[in-house]
Amino acid sequence: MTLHLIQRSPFSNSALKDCLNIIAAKDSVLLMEDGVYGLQHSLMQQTKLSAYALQEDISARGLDSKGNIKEIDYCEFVNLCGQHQHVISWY
Amino acid sequence: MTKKILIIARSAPYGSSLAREGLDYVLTSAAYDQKICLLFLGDGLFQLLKEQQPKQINLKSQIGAMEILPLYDIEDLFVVEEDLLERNIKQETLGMEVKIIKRSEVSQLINTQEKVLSF
Repeated sequence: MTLHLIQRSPFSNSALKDCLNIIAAKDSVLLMEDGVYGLQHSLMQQTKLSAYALQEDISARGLDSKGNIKEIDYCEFVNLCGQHQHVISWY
Repeated sequence: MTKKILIIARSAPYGSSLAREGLDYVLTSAAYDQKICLLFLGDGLFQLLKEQQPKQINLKSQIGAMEILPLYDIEDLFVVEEDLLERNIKQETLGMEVKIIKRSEVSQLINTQEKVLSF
């Protein structure tokens, strides 16, 4: 089980697409930094994966979390890391 | 302590220093007896093209530097079939011996490792 950290906007970078190409159904995705612009992208709006986004990065950029993407804070981020075997950064 | 480490190389070789830094990490870890395997994902595939001549842009060859990998017992180099097709790259244009896997097999490869890092 892997936690995938998406750190770039899917509108200018292939990080999210590359990650979703190889992701397993039981893995989780966390949008952070410019990765939170993924909230606006159809790839994330349709996702059936466990999906999270960092609240600080969302509100800093004037965005809202949508659909089944859960907003989390840094404390929950640390917990998520602990719950997964691997954490992979996509940037 | 020896660990199984997977390095995911996602960057093309010369537009940024990431590809080079990834390779430095690989060689350093291997020198400390870590069991390394490499997965070239997406544009990372371009690191493997045989005919790189970066002297023309005053940089050192990425593929040239990778020739040393077998001396460090790093022989598991994986590429993804769909990435080859998407980028119109034929296996015979690659400068290293690689194993071709499908996208659906990547998560299995990740799960068999103790550490995973991406560059």
